[in-house]
Amino acid sequence: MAERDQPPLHEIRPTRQLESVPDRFIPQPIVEPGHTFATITDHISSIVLRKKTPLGWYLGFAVSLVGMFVLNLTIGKILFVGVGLWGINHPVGWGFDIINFVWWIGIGHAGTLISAILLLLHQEWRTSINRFAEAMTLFAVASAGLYPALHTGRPWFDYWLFPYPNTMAIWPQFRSPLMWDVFAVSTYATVSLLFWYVGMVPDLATLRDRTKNKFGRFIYGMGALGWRGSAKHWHRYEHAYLLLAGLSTPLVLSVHTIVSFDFAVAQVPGWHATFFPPYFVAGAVVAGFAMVLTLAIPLRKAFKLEGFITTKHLENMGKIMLATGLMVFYSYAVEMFMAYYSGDPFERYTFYTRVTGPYRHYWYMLILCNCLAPNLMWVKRFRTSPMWLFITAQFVNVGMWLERFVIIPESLTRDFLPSSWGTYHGTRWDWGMYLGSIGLFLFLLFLFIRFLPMISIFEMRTMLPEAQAHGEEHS
Amino acid sequence: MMPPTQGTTTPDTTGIARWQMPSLVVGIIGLVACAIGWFLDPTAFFRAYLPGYLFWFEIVVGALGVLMLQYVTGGEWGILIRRPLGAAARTVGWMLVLFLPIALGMHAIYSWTDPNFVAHDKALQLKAGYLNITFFLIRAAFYFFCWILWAWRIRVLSLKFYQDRSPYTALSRQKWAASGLVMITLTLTFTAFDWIMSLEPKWYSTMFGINFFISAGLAAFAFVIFFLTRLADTPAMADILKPMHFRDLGNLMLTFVMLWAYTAFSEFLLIWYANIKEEIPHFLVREAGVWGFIAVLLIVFHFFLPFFMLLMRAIKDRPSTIAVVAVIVLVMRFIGLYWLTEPSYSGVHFHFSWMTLASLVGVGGIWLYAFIGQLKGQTIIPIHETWVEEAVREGALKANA
Repeated sequence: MAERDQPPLHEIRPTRQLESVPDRFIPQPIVEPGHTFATITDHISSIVLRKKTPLGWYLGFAVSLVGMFVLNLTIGKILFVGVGLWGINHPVGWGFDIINFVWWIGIGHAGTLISAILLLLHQEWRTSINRFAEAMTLFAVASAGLYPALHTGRPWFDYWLFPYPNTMAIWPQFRSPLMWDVFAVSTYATVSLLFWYVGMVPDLATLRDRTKNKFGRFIYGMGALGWRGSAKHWHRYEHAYLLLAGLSTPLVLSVHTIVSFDFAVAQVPGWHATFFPPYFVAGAVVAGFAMVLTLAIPLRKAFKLEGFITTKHLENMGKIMLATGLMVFYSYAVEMFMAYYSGDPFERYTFYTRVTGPYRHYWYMLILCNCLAPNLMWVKRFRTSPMWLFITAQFVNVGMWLERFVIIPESLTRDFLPSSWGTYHGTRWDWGMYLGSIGLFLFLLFLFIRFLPMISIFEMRTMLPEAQAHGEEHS
Repeated sequence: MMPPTQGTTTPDTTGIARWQMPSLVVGIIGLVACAIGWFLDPTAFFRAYLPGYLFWFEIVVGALGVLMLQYVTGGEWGILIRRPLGAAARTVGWMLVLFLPIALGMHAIYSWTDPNFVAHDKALQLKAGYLNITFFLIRAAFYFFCWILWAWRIRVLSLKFYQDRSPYTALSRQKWAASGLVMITLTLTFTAFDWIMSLEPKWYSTMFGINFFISAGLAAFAFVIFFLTRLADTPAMADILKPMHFRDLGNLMLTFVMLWAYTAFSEFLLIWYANIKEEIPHFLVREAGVWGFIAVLLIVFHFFLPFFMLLMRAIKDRPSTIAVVAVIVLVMRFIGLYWLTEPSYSGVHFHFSWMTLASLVGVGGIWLYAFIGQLKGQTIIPIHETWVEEAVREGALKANA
């Protein structure tokens, strides 16, 4: 047993150290050097607690109010007249309403992925973006929810979707994935809301303690649920937060999987493909990260948050956008190949029409936006440049919308029977509803950044080297 | 140049090396049995050979994929399994040689190689531009070229890294690995279409490729975990392998088990739900009789049992228990492959030939021989790599302070 005299292998250090590390290989810090516990708390809470609201906020809020006005007008008109205002008709019964539903639900996925999955994977850089990404999830789900609720035609009967004992002998059709959607999306909204709120409790207490406004103290105090920061509170909090992260993780997969079932269980060529579940999930994640970048880049500039949302964060998000973008590219390619390989004339024709038919421009744009543009992220210079990241994210935002257009209404316009072929275009009410839901999203977002801490204060503090020196990580 | 302590985790000190010769002997016996089968009934042999080959092939390409994934993400989980993964990936040249019976037996294995059969089917004629013998072989050659190229490049860069310890070498290895992930996703997708899905030439499923490369990753994880558990008790490794390592690897295997179930179930659900004549026969055959029983086995032992076992820390942390999970997964991988391939010939009737077992043992023995051969001449733990990573981290801390 001569080995026993030697130190254990994992304690051996190299005989030759690198004398100097080239810049490129120095890991980027998660928090910019120079910040202390106090400056983090001051900086983030002052965005909420300062007296004077910046002019830019008013301008942005005004724009979102215009969107809200358009939304209310459209919904009002639809309630009085009906969904015939939209462009849907035979053969396309699912148009903008479902496209936008899927688009918004997809955008929400990044929030859950960042807050739950990256937490479980110990990806600490997520800390400065998780709060507003979660908020984005909630607002995106709210915008998404509008569409199916109105698409039922008689939204005042929407509660019939829930299985409850009633004298009308109405029972939901549980064999339909649309029914599964009701449960998947409502679960998703509930868990996301809880996760977001629970994560915010310690920060609400900070705001309660720091605000000089009596009314604010009352409201934040209510939200903080009597948080005193005792060891017991923290212990319970950590438990609850991890449990919620565990609960949210399967939701990242399940929600968009079930959304994909809405189409894939059908026999329509272009809808029925067995890989739709992972294909849609990848699409959701790329859409979500594009939206997080769309929001994060202007926000960090406007509120001088570069110290918290550093280049490292942007670069990592760019990498995730690249990886998931490539998965989407893979899906388009395999789908196209399989249409050929199936030897099925209907399948083949559907995909042939995508490239050569009346909506071919949508398809070309789609390839540009979702397949080519994200490849910029291979280059470090592009994925560390806020401007290029923002531009790429815009391509993806548009591309993901086009993807749903190409899949959903376009497949319906070329069905099995040439006699039932048709065309589809959104009407002004479709566009009104779409712009309106963007308005709703921005409206909620502007309220959020004015009244709640958009970056988690207490979690950012744990990112400082001082905090890391003490505690070992528990898992 | 080698620090003295590095010698302690070589295949010789851990006792791995002494398995090399017995593996070769078993492999040769298996291949001799295969040769006898070939003389007795060539058609039956070729068909029996496919699942036996695919089982080991999955581990090899899965190892290459997981190795590249690990170089891209750089997670700490990978340091202990880099060497076995790399050794497994570099045996891909041997898999090319062992592929020869499939190339030679194409007429027996793939019904679309028969012109008379194709002449009576419109759909098969439409895809003859893809499914024909020449193009099939060209594609197979191309896949092997890619796998060998990437396995070789990563090897060369790792050796260079051992010499120069330069972060630039590590970066260039990372770039190869990133492009390699794109390569392996595409090649494995089409391998799955070519080698397995085309057994039923009229059936198609877009999920098939995804499920296949996830299965390969799962097989590779199960194999390296099993491999590490064999080392856990040796004096050379006892100080290094900790419950934490097995827990990390167990979690990753759990992820792959879940992804496998997710893709397999989605594929089944969507085909069952749409119930169209182009797709449903694939599952109708595999639900009938003994195949149906095997399908239930897959649900229970390929998903539920490993899933619940891997949720428990008490099982994940201990080498003796996680080894059981790894073996269950590996056995189910083979049964899964058999369930996928054999019904294409025998239909609803269950059929199992001794030649399948002979191929499994024959290919396996030869492969283990090659694998251990690749492990030799290096330590099992790449200690120098962790040094450099730590050195960079420390350097960075100093720079930031």
